[in-house]
Amino acid sequence: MDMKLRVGLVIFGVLIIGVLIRHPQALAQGTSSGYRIDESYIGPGGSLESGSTGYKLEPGQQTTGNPGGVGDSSSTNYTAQSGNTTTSDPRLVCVVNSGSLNFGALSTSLVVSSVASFSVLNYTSYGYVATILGSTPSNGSHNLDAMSSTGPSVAGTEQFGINLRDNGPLLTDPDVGADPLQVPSGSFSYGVAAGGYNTVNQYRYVAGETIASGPKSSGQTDYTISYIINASTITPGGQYSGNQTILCTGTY
Amino acid sequence: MRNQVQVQTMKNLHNKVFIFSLIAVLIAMSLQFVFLPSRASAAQITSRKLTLSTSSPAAAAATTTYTFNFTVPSGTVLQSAEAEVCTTASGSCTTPTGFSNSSSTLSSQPTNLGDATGWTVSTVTAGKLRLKKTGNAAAPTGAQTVAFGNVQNPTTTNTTFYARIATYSDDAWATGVDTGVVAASTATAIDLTATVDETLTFCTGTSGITTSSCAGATGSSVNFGTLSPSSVKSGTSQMGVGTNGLTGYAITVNGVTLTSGGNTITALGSQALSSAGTEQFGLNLRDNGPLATDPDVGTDPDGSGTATPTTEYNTTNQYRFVTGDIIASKGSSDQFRRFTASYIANIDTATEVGTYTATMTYIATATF
Repeated sequence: MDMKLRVGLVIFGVLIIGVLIRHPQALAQGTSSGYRIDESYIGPGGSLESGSTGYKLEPGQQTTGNPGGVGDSSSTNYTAQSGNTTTSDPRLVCVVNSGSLNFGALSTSLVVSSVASFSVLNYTSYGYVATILGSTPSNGSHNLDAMSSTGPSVAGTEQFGINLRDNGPLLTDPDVGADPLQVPSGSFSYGVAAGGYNTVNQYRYVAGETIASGPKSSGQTDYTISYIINASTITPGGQYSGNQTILCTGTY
Repeated sequence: MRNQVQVQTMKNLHNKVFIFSLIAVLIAMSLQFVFLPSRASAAQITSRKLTLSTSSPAAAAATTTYTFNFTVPSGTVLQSAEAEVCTTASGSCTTPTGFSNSSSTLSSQPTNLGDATGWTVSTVTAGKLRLKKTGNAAAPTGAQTVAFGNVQNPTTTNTTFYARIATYSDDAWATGVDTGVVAASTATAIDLTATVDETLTFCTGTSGITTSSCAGATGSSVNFGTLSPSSVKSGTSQMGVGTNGLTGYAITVNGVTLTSGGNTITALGSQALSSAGTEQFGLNLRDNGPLATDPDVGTDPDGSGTATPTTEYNTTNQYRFVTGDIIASKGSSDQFRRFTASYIANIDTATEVGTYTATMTYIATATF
């Protein structure tokens, strides 16, 4: 074969291959060291798995319990998910399911409690934090004492605290709350209660603190906030009110 | 001759194939820009997040601070940047209901975006949080922070919204450099209400009141015995008080001085020492004596509370009685406090004979 013909065919072939390979590079922006994909939803799912000690690649495929065909490629602090229904857009859902809580009459001899709930879902991210904001309920110039240190409920001592656990049922502790629930399962959702708010029958409240977090891209986690209030003999009488907000922040 | 023609034909064929290949390559290179997605010129901003100072969707509350943290990948000098707030992460942008940047400010000068000072906010374009610095000379370094204040959150509860961050090398938000999208969300505020019943504990007696309880209170009479112009006579009564009144309580003493028919023993209208041989009736709330001229009477206030006697009734060996006076108070809720009222009575040689009595009524008033 003529040299020009060979050269021409080779150049043609190489460039065509180059053109075809360029497409997936544009969609997945990966970096090193360690590992990083900024848009971590990759194309249609497949069925082949590959992995190593430190990283696993599991393309999505529809199975029982995974109708979306989402696959997890995960390590300790990062998860990329792939499958037919994925999107490259960042996504953050932060829904507070409870609007108002009435604790009724406080007592110096018995703890009063109530619950609120919120859900967080965060995709294509390097995790999220949920922060609680707001002052403790107040009556005129007096705010209920916030539990600035994690501790147990003590009747007769003015306390306002929360945690995200299933508490009780001891004599001195209210049977209140629920542990974080991963939806649909722990295979896809990774939200956890933050330290200080993650011990059964131990409460704390510091406005502005992180109360829950997802260490990596995560499906939905349902959290239940358990509130406890104790009053002392000198807790000023009257009507107490206040409001709090949950702030969810994802890193992308 | 025939072979030469065939060879020439083959060469022509090879040349045609070569030319065709080159044309095909050029066409393929052109088509990739038309039909195949290509890498955008703007690079991805990394480690990006938007932190709100509150997720409250309250309307008419342009008080939220939007803090953007991110890392731009390129070292291009920037003169402007923006975050366009949308209901979706991509595609055409619809501003979330209620969101407003019309009163937005720069909470502080941006960090590591370029020059340390001189950046200004622009509120001209609705839905876009913008800042710029014309003539910025410094390239961005490390991680950047840009904080906008006085932003009105979207007013729909539990709603996700997106901020499309973009940086520009010019000061008119026209020549793009890098981009990235972050998600944020409003959330329903949790309203908390509770009540604490108002309480006031108050008791009087002549004994039995402890430092923590009224339970044993008993007695209602103080007998001075026979008064004398040469020595003071004294007696005591007790009070116990505690309240959760927000602004505390006050105790007043009410009554008339020792009286026998139409005769009275002069009340101490101003704070004074006991003086035997002088008509005096007074009281205080202290542990008095034991000097030769003063009766060893009374006890200082005690108990968990911290209320104190009023100045006029709070000096050892000094007494006073003016009806309606506040004798003790506290400006906030207080735990149980025990007070002991010390009474003294003196007469002079002209004091009329008779049986003298007085009724002291103490009133505790709490303010909630």
